[in-house]
Amino acid sequence: MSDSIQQVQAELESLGYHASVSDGPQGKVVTFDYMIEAGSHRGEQVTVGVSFQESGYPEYPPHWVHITPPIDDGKGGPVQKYSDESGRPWIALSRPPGDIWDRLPTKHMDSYIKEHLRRIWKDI
Amino acid sequence: MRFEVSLTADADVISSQHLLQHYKENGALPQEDLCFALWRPSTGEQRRTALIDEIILPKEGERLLHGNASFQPDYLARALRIALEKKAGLAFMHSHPSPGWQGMSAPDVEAERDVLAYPAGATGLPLIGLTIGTDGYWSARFWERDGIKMCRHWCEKTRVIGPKSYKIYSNDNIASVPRRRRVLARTYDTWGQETQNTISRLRVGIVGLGSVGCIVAEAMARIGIAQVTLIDPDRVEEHNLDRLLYATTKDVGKLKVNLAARAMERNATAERFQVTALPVSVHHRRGYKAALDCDVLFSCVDRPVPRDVLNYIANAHLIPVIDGGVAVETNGQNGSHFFSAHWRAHIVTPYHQCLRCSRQYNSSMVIMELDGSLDDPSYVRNLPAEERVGNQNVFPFCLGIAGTEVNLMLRYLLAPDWWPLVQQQEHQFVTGETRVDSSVCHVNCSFRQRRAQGDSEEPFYLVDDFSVSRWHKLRRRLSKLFGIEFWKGEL
Repeated sequence: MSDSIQQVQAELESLGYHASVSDGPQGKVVTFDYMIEAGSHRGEQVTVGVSFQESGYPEYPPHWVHITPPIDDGKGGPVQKYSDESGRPWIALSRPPGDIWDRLPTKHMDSYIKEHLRRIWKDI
Repeated sequence: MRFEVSLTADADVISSQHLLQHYKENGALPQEDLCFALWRPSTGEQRRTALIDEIILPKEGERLLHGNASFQPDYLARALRIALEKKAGLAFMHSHPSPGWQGMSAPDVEAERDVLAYPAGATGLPLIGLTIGTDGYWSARFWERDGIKMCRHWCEKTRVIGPKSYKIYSNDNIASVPRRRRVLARTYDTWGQETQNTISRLRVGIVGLGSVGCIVAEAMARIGIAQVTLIDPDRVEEHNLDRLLYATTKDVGKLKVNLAARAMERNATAERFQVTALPVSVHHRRGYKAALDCDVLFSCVDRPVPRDVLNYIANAHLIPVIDGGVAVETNGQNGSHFFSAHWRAHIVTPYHQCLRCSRQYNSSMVIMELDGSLDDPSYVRNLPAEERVGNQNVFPFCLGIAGTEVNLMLRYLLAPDWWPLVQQQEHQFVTGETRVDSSVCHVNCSFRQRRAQGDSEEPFYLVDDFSVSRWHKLRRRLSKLFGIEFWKGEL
């Protein structure tokens, strides 16, 4: 397992999430259960995943956001739909955080969730 | 292997003010001075460069001035301790009371070879010796251990990278002064033979030999640059022919670097012109190492990964990068109506805004290129319109970008102190305005910490031969072609 996957998993664990690693269409996915904090789905429990092809985290953040049960933010853009081994349907949205990520003082999953995921939920 | 030293302007100012203080105070009174500095290696294919950004000035009583200058053991011990703490090499600097490139007296040799080079070896790096002349001209050498002997390798050049100007000090014994050539008569008339001697001895790298890169290459050949490295893995395609200088229909399928190299050999005005054509990407280790051999790099690419690599090189290895790009806006169906265009060029060094902060790309775009997304038509098709990269361009716009890039390089080399700082020039085609920008990096920019760090870090995605990223692209294509998922374990 790459250093980046391990680091993301460790960062999520340090934030109190139970994070696990599985295979997705774009490579390894780190998944964790998450309560949506904003937008029209606020309060719903989903499983969220972020996937990696390469190392380089934290400077280079993941751009695929996986969600089950599937929720599309309606903003268009590249989308992939698939099912995992247990038959759960997933949706993967390409939502690059680079526009804000490069200017963050601390590049950590805490910032990824608070700054990037939150704005995705807000748009739904 | 060639040897060189590169200093940041901060290191140059601090050390030269200290080393030359007595000449300034006392006119012709010949009082030398000395100090230590830290250095980090930058290793190319054929060049080893010592990068100097930190000066360790002497404290009271740590050196003695007696016409010559000598250091006390405590000063050496302190400098060595700092070098070890910072995992850097040790450099020793002193001044001479004459201008130009400096040789070494017998006491100079004894001090560096017999007294300093062995203890400096405790850092794991050789001692670098530097001498500054009264005109600020730096000369330098590496002291490397060969068995029980210390070998001196004279540097070919020393370079000082600054916010406004780029100073080059050549060692005429290694890089001989070019003979005056009649074909360059008008060039000498323009900026003089001394400046031309500096320009012609630069090693220039051009990354990307597309429509802009080929025009830059032609300019380098015409202004008398003698050593050029061309880096581009692409071949000529039919849709390049409306913009690609040198290319004809017969050249479709040929490597762009070979095409440009042959044309440059035909058109070069330098006496002993040498061109190296590398059909690889700059994030291929061969391309990366070749780029580290250059004194100036032109970034004529439109992809995030090569731009990211060049951003590393500009900041970590102190090699100025001149980047450029064009944006064309169209409206109407299929982009049938031209609306506007603007092109811009930027200098990138630790003193200028990096390519991420000037929003030429961001970290996510690098990952999207590496994981194959930017080469996946279905991915690109589904991007929102504003995020799709347009391919619109015409030859005259390429001339505009290439001209701006080349003139930014010349301006950086020629600029006297009183010229204003110009980091970026942007030209609006519709209004005819040229805007100058000298913004700096964002406070959290990760490239600020990479300044002059050299080999201590490299882009994580540098690849040797058959790369992981190429494997992922191939796997994706095969999966699409055959409709099955190919092996996706870790490589």
